Parts: sequence; C-alpha cells; structure tokens
Amino acid sequence: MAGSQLKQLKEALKSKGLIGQTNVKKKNKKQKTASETRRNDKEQVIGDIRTQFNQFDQRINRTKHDVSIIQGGKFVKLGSKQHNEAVRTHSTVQKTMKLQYELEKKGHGKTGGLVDRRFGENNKHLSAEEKMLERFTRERQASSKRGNMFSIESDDDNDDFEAGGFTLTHGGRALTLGDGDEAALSDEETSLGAGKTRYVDEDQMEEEGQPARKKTKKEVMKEVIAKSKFYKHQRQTEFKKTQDDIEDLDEDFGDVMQEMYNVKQPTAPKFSTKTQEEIDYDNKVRELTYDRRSVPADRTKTDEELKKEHEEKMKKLEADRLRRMTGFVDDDRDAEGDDLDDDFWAGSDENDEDGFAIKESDAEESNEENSSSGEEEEATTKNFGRTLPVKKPQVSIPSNHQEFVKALVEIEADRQPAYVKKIVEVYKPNLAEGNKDKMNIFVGILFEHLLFLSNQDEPNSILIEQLADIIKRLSESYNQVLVENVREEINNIQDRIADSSLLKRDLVFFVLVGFLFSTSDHYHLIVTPTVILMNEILSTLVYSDEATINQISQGVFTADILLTYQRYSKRFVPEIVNFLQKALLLLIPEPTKIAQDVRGSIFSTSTIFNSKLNISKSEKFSTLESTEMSISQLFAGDESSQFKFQLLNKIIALIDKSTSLWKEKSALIEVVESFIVILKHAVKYFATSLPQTTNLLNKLVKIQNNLLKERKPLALQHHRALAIATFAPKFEENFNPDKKSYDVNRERQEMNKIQNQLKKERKAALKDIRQESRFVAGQQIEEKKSMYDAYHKKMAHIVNSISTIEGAEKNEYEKEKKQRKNK
Amino acid sequence: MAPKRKLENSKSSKAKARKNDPKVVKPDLLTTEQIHSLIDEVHKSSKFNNLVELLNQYRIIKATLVLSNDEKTEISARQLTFSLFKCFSNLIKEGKLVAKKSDDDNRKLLVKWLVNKYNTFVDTSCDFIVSKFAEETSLQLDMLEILLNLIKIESQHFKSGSNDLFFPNTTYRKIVESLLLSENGDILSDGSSDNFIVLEFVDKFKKHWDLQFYFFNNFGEVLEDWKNTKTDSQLRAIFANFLTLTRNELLFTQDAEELENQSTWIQRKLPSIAYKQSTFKTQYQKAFLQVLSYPLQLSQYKSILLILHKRIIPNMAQPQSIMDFLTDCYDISDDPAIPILALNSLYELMRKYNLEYPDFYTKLYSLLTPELLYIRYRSRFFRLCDLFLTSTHLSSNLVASFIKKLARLSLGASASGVVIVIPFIYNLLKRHPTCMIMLHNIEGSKAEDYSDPYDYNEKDPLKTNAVRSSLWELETLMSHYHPNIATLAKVFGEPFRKHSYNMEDFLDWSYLTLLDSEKTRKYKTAAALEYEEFDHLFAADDDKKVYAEGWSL
Repeated sequence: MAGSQLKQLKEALKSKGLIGQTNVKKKNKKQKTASETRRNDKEQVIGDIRTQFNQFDQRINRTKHDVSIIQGGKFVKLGSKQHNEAVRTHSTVQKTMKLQYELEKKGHGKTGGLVDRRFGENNKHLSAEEKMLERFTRERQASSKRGNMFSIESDDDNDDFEAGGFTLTHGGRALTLGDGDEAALSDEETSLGAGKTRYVDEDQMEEEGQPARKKTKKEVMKEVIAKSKFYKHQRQTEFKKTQDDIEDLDEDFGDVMQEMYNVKQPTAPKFSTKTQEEIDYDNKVRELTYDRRSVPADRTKTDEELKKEHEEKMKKLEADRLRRMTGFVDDDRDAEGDDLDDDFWAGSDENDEDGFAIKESDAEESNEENSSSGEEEEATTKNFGRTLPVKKPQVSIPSNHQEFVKALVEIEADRQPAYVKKIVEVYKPNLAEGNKDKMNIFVGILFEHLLFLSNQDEPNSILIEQLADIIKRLSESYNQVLVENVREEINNIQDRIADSSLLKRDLVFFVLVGFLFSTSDHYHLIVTPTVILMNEILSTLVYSDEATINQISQGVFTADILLTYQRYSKRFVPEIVNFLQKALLLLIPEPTKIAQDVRGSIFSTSTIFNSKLNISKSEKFSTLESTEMSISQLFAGDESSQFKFQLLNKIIALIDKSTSLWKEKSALIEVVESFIVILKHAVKYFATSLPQTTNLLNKLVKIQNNLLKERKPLALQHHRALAIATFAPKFEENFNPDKKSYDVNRERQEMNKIQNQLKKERKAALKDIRQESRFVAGQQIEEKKSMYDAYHKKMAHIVNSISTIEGAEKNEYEKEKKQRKNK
Repeated sequence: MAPKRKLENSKSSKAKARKNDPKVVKPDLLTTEQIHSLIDEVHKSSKFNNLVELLNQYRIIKATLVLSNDEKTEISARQLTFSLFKCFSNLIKEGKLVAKKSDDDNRKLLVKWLVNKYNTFVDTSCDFIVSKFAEETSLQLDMLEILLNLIKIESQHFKSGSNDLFFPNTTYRKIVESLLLSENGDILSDGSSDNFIVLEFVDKFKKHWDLQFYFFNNFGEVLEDWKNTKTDSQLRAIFANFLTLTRNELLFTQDAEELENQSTWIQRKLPSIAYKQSTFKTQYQKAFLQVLSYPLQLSQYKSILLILHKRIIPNMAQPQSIMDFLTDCYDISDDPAIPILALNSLYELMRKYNLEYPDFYTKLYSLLTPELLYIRYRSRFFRLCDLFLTSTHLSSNLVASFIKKLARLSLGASASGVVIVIPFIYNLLKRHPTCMIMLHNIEGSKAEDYSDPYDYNEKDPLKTNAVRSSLWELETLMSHYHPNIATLAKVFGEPFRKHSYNMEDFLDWSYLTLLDSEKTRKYKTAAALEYEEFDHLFAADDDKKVYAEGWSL
C-alpha cells in the first residue's frame, strides 16, 4: 500500500466504482463494480471501505488449528473475519443489554419524579413560540395582579384576595365565601382555556393545587352527614306544610258540596235541539268520513287492449306449457294451486264477475229455466258484497256421493247443472268457515258423479258436458283435491284392467283427464300414470291369444285419445303402433296371405293366423255415412261385420293421425313400412267401400319415399373431446436452487414474501426477548451471589473481629489474673 | 294276534252300525255281513274258494261306480277291499303264499292258486286306480294305500332268506304304471296333472328314497312300449302324471352315505343296487329321455324346461344326451317362450359339459322376435343374452346386428320391454366400441345418397350389414311417452361416461310396477292444467271444438 491514507481512500473508492469515470472499459472485466451490479449496495461498499481503513477496530484472533463452527446457521472458520465480526456484534449486544439493565435497576422501586406542568408543555398543537408567548402573557398578568394587592386604591378586597392567590384554609379546605364566586372562577377558567386545551399557569397551579387536595375519609363522611341532615330537615318542613293545607281543604269541603247541590242542571243536552234533518245530515257526514276514499276507477279497457291482454296471457301459458313439455320444471313456477291461499280471498270479487262457475250463456239459461230460484239467487249474491247471507241457503252441500244422487233425483236433468252451480256459489270458501273443506269434498263428489253418469246405460251427454265444464272451472282452485280423486280412480281402473273388466266410465275418464290436465308435459302427476294405464290396455290385446271384439274396439278408442294427448308433444308410443297392426291383422280378411311379406317388417307379431274376427272376404260394404261411433257400442260385443267395418275405418284414420303426428321421427320409415304392407293387402278388399284406405296408402308411400331420401346416419356423439387426466411430475425448466419461488402470480408471490418476512421477524423478535430475559436472569443471579458473598464476608469479618477482641480480652484477663495471683 | 282281534271288533261294530240303517244293496252285491262271514270262513276253515267270489265282486262295483257315484256301493267296496287286504296280509304273514321246498305237490298247487288270486287282487286294485269313475272316490285312495302297505308286507315276507335285502319290485311296478296311466284328473295350464291319486302318492313319493329309485329303475322300457302303443293324448296324460311326480327335487345326492341314510318306505335297508350312483343316473336318464320324446303340449314343454337345468340335468349320467330334446325345443317356433327357456339348459350344457352348438349366435339372433319384448320370460333371455354377448372377441357385425334388431323391435315394444332394450344396447355399445358408428357416423351423414343397408330379414347376424346402418329407432325413443324412458334414451346423445348399466335394475318392470312407482310419488306443486278450451268432450251437432272427435257417449 503506497501513498497516504487519503490517496489510498481515493484509490479504494475508485476501484469500487463510486467515484470517477464509471463507464471505463476494463481489459479483464472479472469484477463488477458496485454501480454496475447493484446500486443499493453502495452503502455496504462504503461501509466495507470504512472498516478496512479503520484498522484499530479490527480484532484478529489467531488460531492454531483450522476449526469451523456453525454460527448464525452458517459454517464459519474460527478466527476468520466473519467470525470476528459475529463475536464483536455479540459483545456489543451484551454491553447494551448490560447498560439497559443497569438503567432499569437504578429506576427500579423508585416512583414519582418531576411532572412537567408548565403551560402548554404537553400540547402538541402549540409551537414553541406560541408557548413562550402565552407563558409570557400569563406571567405578566399574574404579576400585575399581584401588584394590585398592595394597591391602596383598590376597594374590592375580596377579589384581590382571590386573584392574589392567598386563600384562607381550614383543615386543608379552602374557605370560600359562596358558590357564586366559585362558579365565576370556573367560568373564567373555561373561557381561558379556549376549546379543548386548558391553559393553566404555573403559578396558578401551585395556588389552586391546595384546595384540590384529596379529602380524607373523615372529611368526606362529615360532609355526607351534614348534607343528609340538611335534606331531612327540608323534607320535614315541606310535609308539615302540605298537612296544614289538606286540613284546611277538608274543613271547607262540606261548604263546597252544599253549593254544588244547589246548582240546577240543564234539562236537555245542548245538541238535542237539532232538527231531524240536521241529525240526518250529521250522520251522513260521519258516514262520509268513515267511507272509503274514492279512488280513480280502472279505465275501461278497449276491446283491442282486452284482446292483447288475452293474447299475452295465452302466450305466457303456451311458454309455460313448452317449458313443461321439455321437462324443465322448476319449483318457482307460478303454481295455480297456490292461488287458493293468496288470491282466492282477495280476488273473490273478480270471481263474482267472470267467475269460475258462471259463463254468461249458462247464467242466462239457468235464469230462464228457474226464474223462481233466480230471484233468490240474486238476493244472496247481492249480499255477498259485505255481509254473510242471513237466510239459510236453499241448497245443501252433500257430504258423499249417495247424498248427492239422492238430492239430484228430485231435480230434472236440465236443471241439475244450475243446481250444482248454486251449491258452488253458496259454499264459496270466503263466505263461511268450513266451506273450503265442504267444497273439497264436493269437488270429489262431482268428479265421481260425472263418471257415474257416464257409466249409465243411456248417459245424458249434455249434462255430462256441462258438469265437465264446471269441474274444469273448479279445477284451478281445487287442484289438490281433484288430483287425489283422480289418483284414486287410477287405482280402481288399474284393478279393472287386471280383471279385464273395463267400464264405460274408464274410457270417459281418459277423455276427462285430457280435458282437464296438460297432457303435453314431460312429467305430469296425473297424465303420466294415466298414459301408462292406457298403454296397458293397448298391450293386453298383444298379450292375449284370444282377442275379443270389445278389446279391439276399446283399444281403438284408447289409442285415439292417447294420440290426442300427444297432439303438442308428439311423443312416440310404440304400443299404439303395435296395437294398430295387431288390430288390423285381426280384422282384415285372409291375413295369412301376406304372412310371408309381413314377417320381416311389422312389430306386432311374427306369426299370423286367421282369427274368428277376420271379416270374410266375400262381404261387401257400402261407404260409411258417418264415421262417428259411440262408447256404448264399444262394450256391446257386437261382432257384426258392419261394426268391424266401422272399426276398420277408425283404425285407418288412426294410422293417418299417428303418422302425421310423428312425421318428425327418424324411425318413421320403419313404422310406415309396416303399415304399408298391411294396407296394400287391405286395399284389395276395401278399395271401393273405404276410399280412405287407398288415400292413406298413397300418402304413406309418399311419406316413405321422402323420408328415405332425407334420412342420414346419426351423428349423436358430437362432444367436446375430453382431456385424459395425467399425473406426470412437474418439471421446472429454469431451476435455480437460490430462487425461492416460481410462482407466476405476481401478487401471490409478493404476499408470500411478506408473510415469510413477517415470520422471520417474529422469530427474531422472540429470540431477542428470550436472550434479554436470559441475560437479566443471569445478571440477577450474579447480583444475588455477590450480595451473599458480601454478606458472608461481612459476617466473617465481624466474627473475626469479635473473636479477636475476645481473644485480646481473654489475654488481658489472663494477664490480669496472673498479675493478681502474682500479687 | 291282538291287533287283528281289535280290527275285527271294530269291523263288527261297524257292521252293526251298518245293520241299523236300512240300506238297499243291489241284489248281486254282497252285504257287509256276507263279506265278513266269507272272510271268516277263509280264515277259520281255509275255504279259499270264497276269495273267488269276493274278487268277482269288483267287477260289479266297477260297473256301478263308472256310471254314477253310488255312496253305498262305495262304502261296501271299501269294506270289501279292506277285508281282503286283511285276509291276504294274514295269508302272507302265515307264509301261505310262498312255496317251500318241503311242500308236497298239492300244497304247491294251493300256493300257486293263492298267489294267482293275490295277483288278481293287486291287478284289480291297480285297475281301479287307472279307471276314471263318475266322481273321485276315496275307494281309489284306499286301494293306493293298501297296495303300498302290501309292498311293506311283501318286502318282509317274500324275501328268500331272512337276511336278504328285498324290495317287491313287481308289485311296485304295477302300482307305478297304474298311477301314470291313471285317467283321473286333467292336464293343468302348467302341464302337470291334478290327478288326486297321483297327488296323494306324491306326498309319500317325495319322502322315500326306495319309491323314487324303483320308480325310475327299468322304467325306460315301459315308457318306450307306451310310446309305441298309446295315442298322443294318452301320452300327454301320462307325461302330466309323470311331471307331477318328478317335478319336485329328488332325495338323490352325490353323497353315498347320505343317500343310504334316506328314509325308505319299507323301513329297512334296500338292496345295494339302490345306492349305486351310476345305476340310478342311467335309469333316470333313460326314463327321462323316453318321456321327453313323447309328443308334449306347449305348456308341458315350458314347465319341464323351467326345471330342466336345475333339477334334472344334474341327475343324468350323460347330460349331453338331452341335447336332442333341447335342440328340438329351441326350434319350436309356435311359442317364443320355449326356445328362450331351452336356452337356459343349453347354456348349462355348454358351460359344464362342453357342448358344441353349431350356429349358436344365428339361432340366438333368430330368437329376437316382436313377441320377445312382451313375453314373461324376457328377463331370463336378456340375462343369458347379456352373458353370450360379453366377449369382446365377437365380430362387430354380429353385435351390431343384435343392437339393430333390438332397436327395431323396441319400436313396437311395451314400456317394460323398452326399459330393458335401452341399457342393454348401451352396455353392448360400451363393450364393443366399434359399433359406435351406428350412433355417430360423420362420413355417412355427409354422404349425398345414403340408403339404409340393414337387412331386417337376414337370418345370419354376420350378414345383416347392421354396422353400416344407424340407430334412428333409439333417436325416436328419446321422445318416448314415458318420461323416464325418454330420459334414459337420451344417454345415447350424451358422452358415454357411465361404465355400464346394471341390467338387473331394468329387467323386471311391468306396467304394474311402473304405475306403482307413480302412485307413491309426492307432489310439490299443483298438477298443471290444460289451458286450451274445448267446447265439448264428445262429438256434438254444432261445429264447435271437440276433444274426442268422432266419438259420442
């Protein structure tokens, strides 16, 4: 190292790149300068240089052997620079701790101290100058007041005394002359200490500190006693005074009452003078005040608006239906049945108008028919507005079906619907308690009665239609009870199917279900089981070896209704296909002729045989006038060929209906093909008498040809390709052992970093605290040790000295004794 | 002879009772007293000729009973039979029916004569069992019981040595033959008989090993004779009786020791031949093969096939020999149920006895008929079919044919049939992914002129071209009327993530069970109503909207 210290320093700074030219290109650029690498390291570099030059601070331990120890989690060579560094820091820490400890020890057990109460000392809002200024003014004021004390001119002595701060005390309590002064004083104080800050002068403090001294317990008690005595006295005097007053009043009471009796009362109240008119008027006025405030009536809607409204409602219903059809049913759809609870009571007025029981035409009819009861009906309906009908209702609600039938026996068939409507009217749930339950039962009865009527030998179709209409109107409000009844009926029908003893009412039931409920739903509480039942009926024909004409005819009807059910949803029913084929084969003449052709295509059966039901081929028929058939016919077991011919006509119509219903289905080709084979055969016999057969055949052939052209193979599995789950290990391409985190998410990385730091800091802090407490404990032990040592030393010393003295005394004594002996 | 006396006492008391009521017996029928006196004479004074007179009585009795059910005749006949039984059993016990070496010629002659009379008695009884009277009589049941009791007595006294094991085979054979030939009762719908005598015998038959063994022993020849001589309807009746007797599980076991411990009717050990496994099996097989070759009713085929693979095949010496019968059954096309039932036994033979069946899959394919999805035994078929099509080594042509045909059949199937078909096809497709082209054929769907190459009528599943067709039927089923089936069918439009369906969940549905599951369903919301308004339910005169068009009440 050449040159002076200064030169060396310059050299060092330059080599580190801290001064001079920084962008010099070095020939061998091994070491990067501080500025090049990290600017933040500047401090550290400077520190290094500083220590390097401060040779006296360095401590060098020379070790004989090369030994490494672990220090601060790292291997450190004993006596190396790093080791020395650590040792040094350790000793410094120890020193500071010692100092700290000493300081605390000194202060230990010492309380009190000087409290700086100078004006504004603790107020941060005041600057030093402001404080000085304020203090100065205070001092001056105080001194000027003090000066006044001795002024002869002053006539207000008391004030002076106060201001001057000389207060007379007795027993530690300031002797004040009155509350007023104190209040004044406090006022002054508050005004002085403007706002939150309270300015207290140094001098004043000293003076006021005297009376604010804490009272002793004795003083407090005395004060309390004095106060209570004072209040007691006050109360006593007050009580005495009121007693006197009461006594006085009691004495006068008799006289007052005398006076009162003597006064004559007026004969009539003042308002009775009003005339009758006036009273009426008043009543009117009162009524008016209680009357409901008139609100603007809803505007009468125009026809167009009504039409639009209706259309919208229909649109909504249609949308709902579509939703149900696709099977997307959520529970929060507006449930019609719930209207019973909410809207039923509130909206009963509406029901009166476009109500659920009275259609206008019907109402007219009923009025014409029973004019006598019509008046009564009007009377009761008028009353519906607010009060309950006082009269006993003319109709009574039946509690079971027998009762109902009994009641209806006396009424003509024409008037029965009106009678039922009246019951519905009179027993509206909002009219009396318990009506709702009665109506629930009644709806069940009505349903039962309808089926009962239809099962009679000569059913009154008009009556049945009207009853069905009533049930339809009631179905919205009494949905649940209706559902229960229908379900029960389904069970009954199921039993009858098992016994193969179907009744007329069962077929009517199917119609009624379709009439009441939405048959297009994907799933429907009533319709689904009903459809299952109907299919069971259809398939019994397929199962049975010996088919009867009744089975076929009832099946034809069922299939027809089933297809009507599917008019919107267009669902495919394999049983119908099967049934129609089987029925055709059972009816057409000479089915065995086509046995070979049919085998490969139809779904019904693989073996074809002649049955007794087949129409004979020689039979000739004239074209049918009406295609209409009655349900009663279906149960007659009529085996005449004319009836069979009618059935055949129906079946052909059904084939037509079903194929046009399923024209979207991709497998229709197969279905149609199977029908074509049979129809081709049938045409031979019925070409003239049943022209529909030919038409249908042509139509089916056309459909088949079209479909064959259009149909393409399926491609149902267009799905997004799914990734196969892999479990390969994750490989980090730019692995670096020093890198702490490979997290791509910047934010999360930061977060983790901070958390890590926090953890480290906490550990370090805990370590420090432990170290300190350990140090303190060590110190205390040491202190105690030294204290004991000192004590023992002292004691030993004392004992020593005593024994020395004793010895000396003894010697003295011996000497004395010797001497005395010697004497 | 205490028991005998007691019996006589009771008899005489009965006779007394008989005396009291004034009965009119036909002139040529002996009265109870006469019978008793004749029997007594046989016993006491060896007047064996009385037997002839007594046995002749049966002719008259039979003639009467065939015409009408005369109660008195029956009672006296029962009396007569019982007395004769007593008489013969006594004679047997006294050893009068067995010729001894020490006997002289006269004695031998008598024994021979008595044996002849005894045989006449047995034959007459058998004849009564066979014949059909105006009404069912307890006389016939009595005779059966007496015959069986005679077997017991015979087994004890007819044996040659005291330590010999003996079973009276000839007498028992007569009984068995008469039972099978019995004309009583009708053939029931399940192919068995409701013959009351046979039903009575079944109770004893199923409990006693000796009855079972000697039933089958050397029975084949008799059955063969019958086959050649009897008419078809008679053979069917015989088979009905046979089935009624043998449809229950036999006491036969593979365990020899257990077999020897089985209870016997004669209540003692049987000759060693009765415990030989192979003998029984051979005889059993002979009998069954013979009886199965009879011209049977369809219902009889069904009921025998139902038990064949579980109860009968294991007892046969060479089960392969039943194959001819099964093949015949398999080819019966009158009733689709029979081949399906035969399939079960065939499978058993193939599995255990290594049977090779030519064109098995072709035959299996031919079973896929429209009726299949309607018959009761469809679950049986699908269980087996599932098994047969399990192998992943089957050609995709073959599997595709099955898939396509089932799909086609489902277009006319009942709901319960469709329920089976959908998961079945799903499992097949999952197992044979090459068939997925039937659901997803991109090239085909882009082709300009495409025509369905599938040949429905082709019998060979390898040649149907089904794999180049597409399953439009399944697409159609996605709009099946039953909501659950429609949802189920929609799996074919979704990714095939499910490994497989458990077929057992789908096999046993019917309309009834479908409906039951609906009945229990709770309803959360109100049932949706039809908002469309119809003016009439049924056809009316005016032109308004009608729900059920073309129909009136």
